Amino acid sequence: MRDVMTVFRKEMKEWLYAKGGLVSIVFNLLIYMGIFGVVLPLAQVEIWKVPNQLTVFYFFFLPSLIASTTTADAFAGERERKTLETLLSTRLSDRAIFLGKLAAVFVYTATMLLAVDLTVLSVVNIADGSPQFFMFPKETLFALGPLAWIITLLVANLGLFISLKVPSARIAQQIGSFGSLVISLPFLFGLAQLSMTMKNLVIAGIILLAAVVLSTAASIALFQRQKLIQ
Amino acid sequence: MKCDVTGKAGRRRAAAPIAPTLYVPCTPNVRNAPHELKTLIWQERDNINRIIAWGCLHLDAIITSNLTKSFQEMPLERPALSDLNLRIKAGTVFGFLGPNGAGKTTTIRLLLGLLSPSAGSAEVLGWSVEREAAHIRERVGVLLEHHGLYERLSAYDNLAYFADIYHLETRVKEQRIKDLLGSIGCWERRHEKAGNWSKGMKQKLAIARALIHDPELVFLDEPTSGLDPAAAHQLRDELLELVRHAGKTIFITTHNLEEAEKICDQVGVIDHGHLLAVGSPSELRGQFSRSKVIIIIEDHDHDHGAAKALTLLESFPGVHSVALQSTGLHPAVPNPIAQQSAAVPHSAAQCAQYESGSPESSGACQSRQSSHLSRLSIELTEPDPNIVPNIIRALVAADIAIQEVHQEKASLEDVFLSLTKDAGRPEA
Repeated sequence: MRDVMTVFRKEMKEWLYAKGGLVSIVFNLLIYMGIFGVVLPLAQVEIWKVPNQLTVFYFFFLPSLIASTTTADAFAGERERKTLETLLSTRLSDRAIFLGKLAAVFVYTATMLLAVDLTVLSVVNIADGSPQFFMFPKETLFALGPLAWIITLLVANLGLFISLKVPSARIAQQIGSFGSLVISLPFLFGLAQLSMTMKNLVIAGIILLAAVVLSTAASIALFQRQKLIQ
Repeated sequence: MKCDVTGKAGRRRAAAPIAPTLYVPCTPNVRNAPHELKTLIWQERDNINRIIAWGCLHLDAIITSNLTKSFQEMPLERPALSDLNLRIKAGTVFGFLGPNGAGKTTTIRLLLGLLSPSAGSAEVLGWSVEREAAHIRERVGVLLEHHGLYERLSAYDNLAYFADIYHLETRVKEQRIKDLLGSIGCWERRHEKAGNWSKGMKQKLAIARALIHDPELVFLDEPTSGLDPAAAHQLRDELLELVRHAGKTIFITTHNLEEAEKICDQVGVIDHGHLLAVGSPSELRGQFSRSKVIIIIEDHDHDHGAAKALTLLESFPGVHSVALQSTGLHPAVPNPIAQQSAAVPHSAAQCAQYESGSPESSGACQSRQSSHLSRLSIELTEPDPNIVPNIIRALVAADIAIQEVHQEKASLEDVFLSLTKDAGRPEA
């Protein structure tokens, strides 16, 4: 766990201290908050008051978008900047390196999602004009919370796997964005058809969690330093 | 098992107090030791290193046995590394020399467990590279071909990251970072991003990073590339200090043969994946290259001195080969070679007049206008100190005027070139 935290802290520092890193993070956050937090909710305030399939964009599409672009740099970036081999020459286990990077992507994406969700909540409350504080229905809360986190982990896993296999961060980003879109479509379609009951959402969550466990195990098994050195 | 470990003082350990003959229970290496014992050895490494630094104990830090590596894209008959057999003693500096693509980096990767061998085996600090690579990586410091620094992070954060990887306690970590950055003169710049540093400074920082956890064995791939001569010299001194006082083992690859000659106890020359030679620099010089003597003689047109000298030396005992070359220089004209020459025996009395500038010397000099200087390049079969005086005596006796004599000691570069020149480069 200590090693995972070491890698996690380094990843976060690298994002923050990169040239224009903090500015870039704030800029991205403002875009997400602007589009998904202000513009879209203002257009359809009513859909937030009851469980609605359209929230699938918030608990599936948005985490996929943020996680897939963030993971691209994880290994491909290290390879590009020639730090990967030095990292692999340390005592860190393959698992610690992988999980540390996964944790960093998860925390980053979850923070972005939280900021967007809080913006949505504020905008809906302001637009509603009711003196009573409005809170999302529990189904929506479950979808925006645990379900969105599970989806973040799933996409981050796939993104890290792609990042492991390609030579540059740019290629990883292109494949990741395209891949997540292709994978998202059937899920988006399926989840949009799903009645937003708590039971259905929990079942979807369990299935996706199983997919996360399997994909994490597969990614760790495939992450072998001997195969990464060329 | 008991073994007699004699307190041998290495050439660089002469100042250290020599312990009397010491009997310690040991094995040639710790490969057969159970896991608990290996862990104990690791815990006691400081004491063991101190013993090694005293020269009382000799362990093998690296052993390879027919280590071979082939890559899928390479033809089987031309592996990247072929049957490498090495034994590197703990507490020594081993230099791995070879041209680009010779197999040096592949060897380091194999020893770190980053690649798995196609055949053969290797042990580093008693641990198998195939089965126990994680233990190896815990105990070694590494500087690879590229410095591998995180350029977005500060120098301090780079070192702190690696200190955290090796679980250094906070107080130890901070002290160690301060010491290392202080030793490379960068403590004041610790909060600057590594990416803003010069190439040489980055290299120094990367070496500091390799040493952050006080490793027993350090792999350095071209450590002085990009360093200015003063920095390279300082680094060499620091590496020697590490070996002398801390008993560390250093495995260094370099193209700088002068550097290898200065710091390495043992040197291995590799080309096309084959280890061509291994030994101390002086052993390799003696084994693979011949000392040369250069004699500048004064050759008068009428006495054919150069031809006479050539005939005389071709069958001279201890002489392997002789080559004659006209310098195109005239003895009456001061030339840089003559100015640098040491005390030179001359054959004729007028030489003294020539040198002293006496009234007769102008005539002597005029006579020299009709003569010229020839260069005899003599390769000796063995480094016998009597051969050169014997050659000079024979030339003087044959009335051959000698202008200058100097001996060229074979360098590691000569060894390197003689070993690698015949090997053809692989086709592109």
